[in-house]
Amino acid sequence: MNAFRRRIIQSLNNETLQTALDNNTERRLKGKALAFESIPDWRERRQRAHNIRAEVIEHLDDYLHQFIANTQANGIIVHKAKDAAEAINLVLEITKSITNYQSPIPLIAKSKSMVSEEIELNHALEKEGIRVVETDLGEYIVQLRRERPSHIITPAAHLTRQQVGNLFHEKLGIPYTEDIPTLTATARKVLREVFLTADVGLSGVNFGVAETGALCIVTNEGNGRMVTTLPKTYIALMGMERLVPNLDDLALMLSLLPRSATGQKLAVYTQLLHKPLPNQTRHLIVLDNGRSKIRNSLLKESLYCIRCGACLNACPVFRELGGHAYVGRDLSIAPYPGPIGSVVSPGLFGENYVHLAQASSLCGACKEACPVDIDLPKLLTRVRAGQSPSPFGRGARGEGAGLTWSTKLFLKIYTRLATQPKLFALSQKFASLTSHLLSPRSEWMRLPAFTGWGYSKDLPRFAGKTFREGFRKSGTVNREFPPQNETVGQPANIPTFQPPNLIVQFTAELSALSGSVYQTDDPTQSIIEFLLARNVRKIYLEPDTLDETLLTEIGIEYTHAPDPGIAVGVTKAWVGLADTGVRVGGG
Amino acid sequence: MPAVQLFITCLTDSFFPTTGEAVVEILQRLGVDVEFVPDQTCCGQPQFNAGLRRDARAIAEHTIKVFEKTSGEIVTPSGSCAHHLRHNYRELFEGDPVWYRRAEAFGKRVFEFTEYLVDRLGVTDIGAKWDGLLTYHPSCHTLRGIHVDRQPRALLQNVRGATLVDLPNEHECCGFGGVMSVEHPELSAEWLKRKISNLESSNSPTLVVTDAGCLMHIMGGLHRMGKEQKVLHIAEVLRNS
Repeated sequence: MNAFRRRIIQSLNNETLQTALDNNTERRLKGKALAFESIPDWRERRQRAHNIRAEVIEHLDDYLHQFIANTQANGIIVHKAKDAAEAINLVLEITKSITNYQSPIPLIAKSKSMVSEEIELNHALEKEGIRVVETDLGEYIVQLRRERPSHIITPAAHLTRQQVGNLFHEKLGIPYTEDIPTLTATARKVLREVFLTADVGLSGVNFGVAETGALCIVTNEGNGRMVTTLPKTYIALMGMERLVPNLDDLALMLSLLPRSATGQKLAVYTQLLHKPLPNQTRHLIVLDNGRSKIRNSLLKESLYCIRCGACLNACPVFRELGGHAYVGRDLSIAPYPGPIGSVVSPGLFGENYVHLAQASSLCGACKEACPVDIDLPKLLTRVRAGQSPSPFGRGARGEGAGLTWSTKLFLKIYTRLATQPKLFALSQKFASLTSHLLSPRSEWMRLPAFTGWGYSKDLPRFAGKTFREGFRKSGTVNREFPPQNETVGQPANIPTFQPPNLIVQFTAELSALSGSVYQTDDPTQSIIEFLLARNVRKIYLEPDTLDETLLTEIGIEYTHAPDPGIAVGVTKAWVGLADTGVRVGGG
Repeated sequence: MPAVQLFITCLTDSFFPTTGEAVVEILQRLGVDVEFVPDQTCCGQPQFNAGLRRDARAIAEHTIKVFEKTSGEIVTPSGSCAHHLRHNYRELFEGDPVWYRRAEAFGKRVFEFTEYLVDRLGVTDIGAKWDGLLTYHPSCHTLRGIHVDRQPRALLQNVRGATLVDLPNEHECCGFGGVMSVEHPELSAEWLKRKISNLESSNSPTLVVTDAGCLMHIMGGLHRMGKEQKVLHIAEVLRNS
């Protein structure tokens, strides 16, 4: 039995893991389904998204050229890395070129980046004496456990809250608690310090916009904002395929990505980065690491992926295993688990992972879940057929990659039979006879477990007389039931569109995010009442927002400059998005 | 009087001939002439799914050649084989202009049994009778491979005396997956357990499927676990009048 199968059995027998995975799966599937209800045209969006990604990958060189020129025009320093080693060296060089670290050991604050997992960046940096701290809560948890993320969106999906409670108790010295707000607050305290003292901020990139050179970063915890703005040096690490042509296309992708990933209509923070801030240097590292080879192979479609993780949540294999069971022959964990991982891993990291694609029933749940409609079952069969490119040289892989020799032998023999009809019919007779000899009294046969089939099910006995033996071409009987002329076509699943009440919808969405909405015709008066009721006498006020004379008359002090001593701030919103409860503001 | 070719599939041929007989009986009752070309064997899906493309191509060429000698639409009582014949045959001959065209022309003739009844013959009520509860498992390749779902449901809705109840988490794979059920028996067993426990929650004594693969897999699991529930191919339910 190989390492992968042993790992599968371990996962199946791990009850804590099974509980964590079941919870994660159910929550994610429900959330996704609910979030898509709000875009009745999701089928068309999905098709458009597919076409956009296809277009980008088809003309990747052109889009990359345009994108890089525009990021450079924005003042970002762009580097290209052909493989993991080059990317790691670039990060090292950039970090080491900083002359005045804030503390004796250089510190990098990281927001989530799967590319950094792919190149095993943390490990390499730590070896060079650099301290790296993950600032996404899930990533922080797995970093404390010295593990790889087990899911590309929810890195700690394999853990229960009890396990996290124990971990924080052990590593951070707080009393054991399962209370999520307490755990989050503890992590926040540690991480705030990291944000403020980091020499370098590093993050992944969700999308690069070719037309404007914008880097789009989608996060939920605000850590993305911190690492991209607080440290004097910021490094963005992106896979070369993560481009969209323009902002319209980005908007489409942003309507699909959070819905598919976390069941949100919009993530809490969606950033578009352009020019560096004053006194800040921004670097962008664009990584190939096998992507060009995949692009020139029959697995090209796998590059359409926007890394939402929906295929993981939908996959019955992932649901049983979690990300840590996707191991190579050498037991190393594949950085990208799930269906998409089984497709790209052999191309990115080699032969070591080629057997993963055999662990699939090709049930198609992944394709159905994919927001850009990647035909993952087809790609899995292509990996099995040895069509994944080898990152080391161009040795073609054999057919039946990852298959056990006994199954291969059986199928080869079956091919001989299936291409010779007389032999086929004869072998059916033989099989029937044998099964009747083996199981004369029962219609069932109990095969031993090692056959695979016998592990959990019985095999029906072959029929005494096959269909072909019994078939007689008899005359047709008269039509007893005339056909009903019902219209043929897919049922309309698309709900009829009704214009929503935007204020009601905005209020509902913002309330879901724990915000409160008040309606007023006289904002100054209402806010004064609000402040007095809470005994607030000093506020931060965005200029030109309220009647400042009236505030002074009432005795409320205000300032236009940020001041950490102030608890209440009043700002304007340019626009509120009813669909998501998001307030778009300036500054 | 239309004539159709029956592609029986190797599993139905060898294990479940009565399903094949039910298909023939129903089609004949509806006035369709059923022909069976005896040189047909297996569609080659196991080889294709395992990644043995040379083998899968050899079987595909055989099948295409056999059916090119016949005329009319091809009906098969398996969503999975229909998916393979219709879609994967083209994938197999990608880059081979001659065979690709032959595969494409062949694929266009193929219909899954319930798809043929509903979409080609326009029949949703064939006068079937049943006593008691039924629940339906949408086989993966029927549902997500060839997108046939409303057809079997419409046919079952119209079975007199039958109450069609929901199967919880019906869209989940039963764990057959062809070679996967022997290559990864532990995984397969887990899904099978889940499917069977969902079947128990449905309270239906009978599970209806459109594919001999799921049929054999789920009934094999039920038998091993000593459960009473039965699994039937939809044709066996529909023939009952």
